[in-house]
Amino acid sequence: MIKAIFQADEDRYISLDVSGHAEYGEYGKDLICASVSSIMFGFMNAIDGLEEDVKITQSENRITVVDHSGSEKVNDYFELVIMQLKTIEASYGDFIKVERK
Amino acid sequence: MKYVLNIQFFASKKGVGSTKNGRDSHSKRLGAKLADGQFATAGSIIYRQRGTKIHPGENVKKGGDDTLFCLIDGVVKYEHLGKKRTKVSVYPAV
Repeated sequence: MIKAIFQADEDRYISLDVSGHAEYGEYGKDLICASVSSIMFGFMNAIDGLEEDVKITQSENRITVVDHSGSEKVNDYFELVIMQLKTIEASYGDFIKVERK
Repeated sequence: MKYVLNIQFFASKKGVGSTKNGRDSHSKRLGAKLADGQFATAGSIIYRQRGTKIHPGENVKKGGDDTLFCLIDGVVKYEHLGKKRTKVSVYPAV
């Protein structure tokens, strides 16, 4: 199961940590993994393009994004991505869990 | 674009698919319990089997689970039964 854990201070997002295996299907056919991977890689590229003070770390089956900028746009991106992950969770809750720390 | 999409980034390891196997029953320790030429006491088990791999011969009976056991004290003898089959008998020790 993929765990997506985000930190927020009221409506200001601070960090998002996504890790684990979806285990929805075999490697190469795991649809949930593909969805989450696409969202997160898009998120990383979008954030990277803003050139704000945001720390992105990527290791095996784990992506962590921590916002130090306080930028409104970065915050909007966080909101969008978390909503996208929650949308997947709503239909495939056995394979991804979105939680607030 | 800095981050190249790995669309299976959150998938379990490559090639580590889930398997539908991985189950087995406990082994039932079938087979010979007394060898040819061994001395057997009445009632002792000679051969555990499913079906009649070995047929009962002289002074040997077949139990409900096809187990072969001897009726008298004596020496175990595995013999041919026709061309392809085998039987086990127990002959009184001389």
